[in-house]
Amino acid sequence: MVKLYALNVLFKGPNNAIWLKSAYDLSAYSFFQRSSVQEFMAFVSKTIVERTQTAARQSVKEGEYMCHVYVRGDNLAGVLISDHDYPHRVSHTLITKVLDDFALSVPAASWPVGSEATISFPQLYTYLAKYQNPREADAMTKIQEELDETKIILVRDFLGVKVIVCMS
Amino acid sequence: MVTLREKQIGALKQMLNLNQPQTKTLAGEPVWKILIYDRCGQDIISPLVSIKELRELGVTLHVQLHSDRDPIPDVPAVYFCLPTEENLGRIGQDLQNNLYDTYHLNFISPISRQRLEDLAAAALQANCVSQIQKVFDQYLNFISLEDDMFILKHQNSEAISYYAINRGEIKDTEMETIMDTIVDSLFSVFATLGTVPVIRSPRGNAAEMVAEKLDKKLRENLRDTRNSLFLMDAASQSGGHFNFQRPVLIVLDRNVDMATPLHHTWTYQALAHDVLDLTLNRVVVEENVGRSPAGGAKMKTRACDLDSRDRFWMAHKGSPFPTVAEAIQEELEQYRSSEEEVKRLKASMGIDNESDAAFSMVTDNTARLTSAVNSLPQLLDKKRLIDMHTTVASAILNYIKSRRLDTLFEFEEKVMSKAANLDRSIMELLTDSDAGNPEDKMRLFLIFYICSHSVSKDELDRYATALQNAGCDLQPLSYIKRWKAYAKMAASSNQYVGGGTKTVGMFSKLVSQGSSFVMEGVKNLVIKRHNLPVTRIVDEIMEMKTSQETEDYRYFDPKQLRVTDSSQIPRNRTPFQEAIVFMVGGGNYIEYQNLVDYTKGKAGGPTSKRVIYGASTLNNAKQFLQQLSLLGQELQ
Repeated sequence: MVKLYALNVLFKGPNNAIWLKSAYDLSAYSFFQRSSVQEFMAFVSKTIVERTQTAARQSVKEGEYMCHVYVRGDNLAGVLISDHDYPHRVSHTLITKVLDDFALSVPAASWPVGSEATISFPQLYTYLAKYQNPREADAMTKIQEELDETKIILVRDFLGVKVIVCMS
Repeated sequence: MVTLREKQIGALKQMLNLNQPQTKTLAGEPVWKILIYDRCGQDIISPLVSIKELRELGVTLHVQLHSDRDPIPDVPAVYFCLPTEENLGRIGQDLQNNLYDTYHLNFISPISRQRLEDLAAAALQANCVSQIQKVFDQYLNFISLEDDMFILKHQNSEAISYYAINRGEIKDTEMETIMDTIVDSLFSVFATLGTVPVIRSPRGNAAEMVAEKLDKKLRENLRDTRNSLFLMDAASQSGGHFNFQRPVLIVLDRNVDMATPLHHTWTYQALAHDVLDLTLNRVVVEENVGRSPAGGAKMKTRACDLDSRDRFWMAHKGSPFPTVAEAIQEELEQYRSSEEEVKRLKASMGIDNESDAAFSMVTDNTARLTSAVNSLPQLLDKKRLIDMHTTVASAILNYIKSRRLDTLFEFEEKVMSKAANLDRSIMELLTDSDAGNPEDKMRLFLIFYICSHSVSKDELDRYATALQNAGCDLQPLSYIKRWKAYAKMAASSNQYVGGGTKTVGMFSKLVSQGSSFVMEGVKNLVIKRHNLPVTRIVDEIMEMKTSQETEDYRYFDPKQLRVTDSSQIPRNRTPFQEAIVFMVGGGNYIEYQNLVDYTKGKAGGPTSKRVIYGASTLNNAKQFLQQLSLLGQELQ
């Protein structure tokens, strides 16, 4: 069964990782396990961001979970914790998407000094909920790929006519 | 020292006496009355008051609340039920239909103001307000099975089972309801005991939540000067006995020890629960009553009550099974010799009657005859008991032999005590078709898995295949895997210290005298004295020992004005003499017996202890395994 547990955004500082925003979906766990599991996932997220190099992607297996991390060139990092069955490609697509969105909503200046309380990014929860079903993501990815392909063909064909069709 | 159970019986008898103070004098006939209960009330009353005693108290008819009842005029009716909407609706209907003469409404747990007003409105509508004699909040929402053991629910126990508390996809509101149910019952226990305990609980699980809520509830009740249940009335103390020491309530979560509920057992009561489904102190056994016309064996079911009225049971419910078998044999011989004596007496009396000359001998014989006649009811009772225990023990023995429960028990004890040498590997036992049914094998493996430090993935797969070949359901295993991973993460450790068995030489007495218990091939195992995790924790807390496990436990004292911070636990206190251990998520007789043995070990002298064992529900291994299976399925 595919399941997403956590989606976190951090900033990779020179010495340590700084929490910017987090979203958890631990309903599958028993009531009393949820807080411990959340702590554990937070710890794992922070550690893995600190251990990942800038502009790098990783997928690490940790016990029952799979941690996917992407640290961008500007040191904005996203961590997705899922179970083993969740497709890797979709997770990394999701992280990239989330970080792009985050970069647009939250100014870069606040990243090194931000914290959960000061930063507002409610879309994180929506993403986590939506992507619980990877097929949904897959469909979008497929369409995105088709769009890109079509764009390339169109641009190539109409280059002479100097007409660029925007499809979005 | 009045026990919890006795206090509950006292409260029930007072209720049945229409809440009039009971007088010692036999004032002629009691008032005849009807008792009406719901399922919860039935579970509370049935282990405590027998039908005969009900008759003695004047109850001529006892019926379920939700059944069709005919009106019976001129008779007071005693109601004993929970104040739920459903029940109150039915009571309202009864009032409307004017079924009885007067109504004594006793609610097992307190009725809320809103519902009381609704009830009053219904009574007003039915125009029978004057007929409602009394409305009582009884605070009896628990089931006493023994003097030192209670559970919260029997019927409808799924609401607060281990599964209900530990499943995923549970909403906050649902958890609140479960916790409130448990706390309400625990509050009744202490209201009945009349003491306010000091509460200790571990952190981060259901036990902590129960402890917090109970503390809050006790605190509120103590502050409510109008209505407090805990005013220590010197006059009401039995025999002027002052109990300066307060008991400690230790609330524990089932997850602290998952192996014990699955353990194969060896003591009489625990075996009865495991293989014969002992419920509310009663077992139903099948006995062979001869041949049916078709030629097969005819089986009849027989219900046997195993409770405190049974002298043999009270002496041997905690004994290992071979001891029980021997004891039954001894009782049988004693009975036979008494019977012989009565027969001789009868014969000699017969001779004396014919000759008038032996006048002096008659007086002598009369005395002997009188004593024999007086002992006749005792003898008959003894015979009945022996018969019953023979049936029960034989049924248990059949199960032991067919499923090789003795081998399984021995192996598990070794595993649980981390004995270095396991002379048979677990793989052998799993593939041995004789050793237990699939459930037994699953239990065995789960205990092995829980108690071993780490099992490599390959080994685990091999075992899983073996289990599947034996026909086991593997769902519990997936749940226990998750549980183990979580336990490692939360950094707790389970240790079973001591334990193990030693095989005493085959007892020749039974075999040579051709008894009905043929225990050949059944090992005579004696359990070495050891402490299960629960007992160890209780010991540490009662004796104020510091240990890694209990150091971090929370401390609640409802009598303190301010909420106590755990770091300020008073250290200069004397050890606790009395403890109530409550297991959230289901208890079992094995833990109970272990605690009883612990208390016996400390009996006499200044360090004597009293421990009461309570649990939200009582699960035998089969039921617990079912719950684990459901939980495992959810993980898929």
